[in-house]
Amino acid sequence: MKINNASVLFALILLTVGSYFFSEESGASGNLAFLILFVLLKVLLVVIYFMELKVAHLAWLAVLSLMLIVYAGFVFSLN
Amino acid sequence: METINHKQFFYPPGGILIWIIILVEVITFSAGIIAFAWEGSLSPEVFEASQGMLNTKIGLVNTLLLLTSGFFVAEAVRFLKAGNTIKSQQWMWVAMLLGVGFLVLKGVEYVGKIQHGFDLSHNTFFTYYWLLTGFHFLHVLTGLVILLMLTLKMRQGVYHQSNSLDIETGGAFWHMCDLIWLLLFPVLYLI
Repeated sequence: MKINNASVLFALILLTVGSYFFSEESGASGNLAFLILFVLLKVLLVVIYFMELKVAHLAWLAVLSLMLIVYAGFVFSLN
Repeated sequence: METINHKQFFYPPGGILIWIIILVEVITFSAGIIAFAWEGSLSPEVFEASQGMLNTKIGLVNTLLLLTSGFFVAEAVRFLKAGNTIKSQQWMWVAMLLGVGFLVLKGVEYVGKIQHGFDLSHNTFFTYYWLLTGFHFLHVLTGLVILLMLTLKMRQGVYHQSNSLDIETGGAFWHMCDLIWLLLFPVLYLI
């Protein structure tokens, strides 16, 4: 299935608005894992589709993913 | 016609140099965010009270502005590669307009904070808030200048279907501003 930029933008908006309402509804602490997961998904969508890492060597995506895991791990453990 | 094989490690879309810059920037901002979260774990009351002073609605709208702007830049690159320079230029202008919208809203937020006395030295939360969002603000401003210069050159006919690398590179810089904001927004405003 070919994913176009418009559907990526739609997904990004859904994830952004979703994370906003998650945090508004019951506070961020209960939904920390969801919020971080949404961040990771959004970053991956941007780098893979908007920045076209889908056509690049897999190592670039691997390096970025590793950085994101470190970021998520620290943010999760410190909150 | 350019025939770059992006599957080769040294030729990612936009060129290797911009990707090295992107990685360094992501590491730098992530380190700042981690330091912010660390300080927050040491004085949770101060951070929770200070976070309550931020306008999450402005943060949300700004996130949507940057993401939509990123979409238009991605489309502009796609149109240029397809040979449609007119459409590419139009999409670049829309992307820049949205970027300006981000800066204006951020400016409104900054003025409000200063008026209420939440400046750089108010407390640790606001020191990090100003440093992290301030540096990001400067990146967006730089990104806008880059997009403007590229669009003006595209108008002069410098960039076209067979010469699009600079547009891809500028676009990658703009998307990096998206990425950094995506990492900053939840930590500063939501968590």
